[in-house]
Amino acid sequence: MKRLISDKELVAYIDGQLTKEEVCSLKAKALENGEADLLLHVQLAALECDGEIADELLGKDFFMQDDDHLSTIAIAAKSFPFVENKE
Amino acid sequence: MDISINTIERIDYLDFEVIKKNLKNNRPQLIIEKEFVRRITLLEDSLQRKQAQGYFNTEFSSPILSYVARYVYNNAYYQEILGEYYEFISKENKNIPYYKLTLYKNINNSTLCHYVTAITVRYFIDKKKKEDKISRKQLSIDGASKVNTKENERDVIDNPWFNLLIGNAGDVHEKEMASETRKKIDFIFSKLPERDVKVIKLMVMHNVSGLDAFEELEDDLSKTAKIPTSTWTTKQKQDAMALQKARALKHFIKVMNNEKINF
Repeated sequence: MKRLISDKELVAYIDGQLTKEEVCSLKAKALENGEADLLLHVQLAALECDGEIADELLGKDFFMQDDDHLSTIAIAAKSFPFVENKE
Repeated sequence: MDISINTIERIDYLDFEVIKKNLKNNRPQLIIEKEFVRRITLLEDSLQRKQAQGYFNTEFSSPILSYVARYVYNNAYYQEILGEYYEFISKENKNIPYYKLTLYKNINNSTLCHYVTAITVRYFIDKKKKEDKISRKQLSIDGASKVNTKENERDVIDNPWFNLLIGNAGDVHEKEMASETRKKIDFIFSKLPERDVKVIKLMVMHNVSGLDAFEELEDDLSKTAKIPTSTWTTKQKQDAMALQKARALKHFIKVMNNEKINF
C-alpha cells in the first residue's frame, strides 16, 4: 500500500526542519508513491509566499530581476522529467 | 510584532489591521493565526468575517494561487482556480466555511501560510494529474490510436536529472552520473551564482540538512543578509536555507529554460 507523504512531513520539508536521513526517507517515499513533483512544487510555492522574508534573510534576488516571471518555471514544469510521476 | 498579554485577553476585539500585520511577519504568533481562522470560519455574517475572508481570498492566498495557476496549470489565471480553491478549503464540512483551516495545528512551529501552501499545492497537482489522465484517454479514443496512458516508471526513476533533484535512495554520486548529464549540469552550474551551486550540491544532491548547510554558507550569507547572521535563531537558519534552496532551484530552472537544456 502506498504511504502518502503527510501534511506534517510536507510542511517540515518546506521549513527545512528535516535531518539528512529524514530527507532521504521522504524522497524515497515520494518516488515510491509518485509524489516527487509535489516536493519540488511546494518548495517553490513557499518561496513565492515568503518573498519578503527571503529578501530580509538572503538579500534581494538579482538573478531573477531581468526575468519574465510568467515564463520561467511554467515552461520547465512541462519539460521536467520529475513531473512525470507514475500514476 | 508581539501582541501583549492585555491585548491577547481581548483578542476577539483586536483590530484586523493588527492581525494582518502580524500575519505578514516572518514568524506570526499562533494566537493571531488562530484568531484569524476563527474569524474566517464564523457562521454568522459580520464585519470580522468579511475582513478575514476578504484578506484570505486575496493577499493571503494570491501568492499560492498564482504559483499554482502559472506553474501547475501552465499559465492559467489564478481567478480561474479561485472557486475550486474555495470548494477544496471548505470540503469535508460544508457547514463550516473554510473548514480545512480549522485543522491547522502549528506542528513543529510552522505557519498557517505553509500549511495552506502544502495542502493546496498537493490538491491541485493531484487534480491536474487526474485531468491529464482523462484527457489522454479521450485523445486515445478520439484518435483511434494507442496512446500510452501509463507513465513509464522505470524511465522516471532512471532519469539522472530526476535523481539529481529528488535523490534516489540517498546521495547522487558524481562518478555514477552519466557524463552527458554531468556536462549539462556543470554547464548550468557555470551560469549560476556560486552560492546556488553550493546549496544545490549540499542540500539537493547530498541531502544535507538546512542547519549543516548553514554552517558551510554562513560567511557568504552574512554578506547579503539584512539581519546579522550571528543573531539568527535556529528557526531563522532553517528558514533561510530552505528559501535559499528554493531560490537556487528556481535559478537552475531559469538557466535550463534560457539555454533550452533538457535532461
